[in-house]
Amino acid sequence: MFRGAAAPSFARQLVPGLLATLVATSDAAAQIPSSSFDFAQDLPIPQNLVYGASLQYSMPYLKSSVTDLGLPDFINHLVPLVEVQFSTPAENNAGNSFVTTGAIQPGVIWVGSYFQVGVEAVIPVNGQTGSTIGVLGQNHLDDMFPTTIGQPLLGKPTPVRTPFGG
Amino acid sequence: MYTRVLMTILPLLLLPTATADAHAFLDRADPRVGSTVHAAPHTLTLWFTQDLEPAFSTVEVHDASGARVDGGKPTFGAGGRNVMQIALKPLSPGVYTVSWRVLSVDTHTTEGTFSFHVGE
Repeated sequence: MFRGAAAPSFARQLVPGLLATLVATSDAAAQIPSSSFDFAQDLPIPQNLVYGASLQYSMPYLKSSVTDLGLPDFINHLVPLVEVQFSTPAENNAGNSFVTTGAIQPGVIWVGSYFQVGVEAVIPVNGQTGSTIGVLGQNHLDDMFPTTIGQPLLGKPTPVRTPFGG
Repeated sequence: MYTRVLMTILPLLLLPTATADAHAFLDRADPRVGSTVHAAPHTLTLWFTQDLEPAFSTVEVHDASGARVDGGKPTFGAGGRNVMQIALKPLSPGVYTVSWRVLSVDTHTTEGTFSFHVGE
């Protein structure tokens, strides 16, 4: 595939690029209810520590910044990912289990210029979370109504393009 | 109990995983991103996912030593308002880095880099 003295160094540049396409994210937060007791059910409302992480591989980034493999356009818009989300009771959990609940969510997102759709399986990590595998769907819209209320108040209207120039 | 667990988990499941933005992203390029070409190209062409504002959109091409090898000023509109082109100086075999920064007509700025290789 590569010829010439400079070719091996170019190949060495591509390998870190392929790894850079892999993205890791994480989040953590304290879930503190506005009231500490549910008088209707006569139960304390616990404070939880919620945390999670995701591992994603961006095919759009791969195509635009690392290497254009000439894959079908549909595949170039995909972001395969695995998310994990957990919740651990921290305080005010009298009488209840302090067991951590959570889910592992493998799935895929299709990213376009104006919207994205995603689907993930929701696999409970233990019996306290649930006993069946669920499905999560997502839809994110952007640039809605570009020819009507999405136009600037001043200036001439801008032309509307289809997602990814298609 | 199951309902309470569900109410705890459900907000977590609704957390957004990524966002779609109506920005000008690089759709494709000639020479292709990360490709090896055996004949030195005379121009670089970039296709974006949105129309561009030429006054605020630039592209530079550098060789492995960091020297600029492009013609200095890109042109727009050949094939559409989402197309940016720039002339290239005669390229010798080696790796070239393209750095682009554009403003789309919806006023969002994006930038990126990629490389291509000219083989012998």
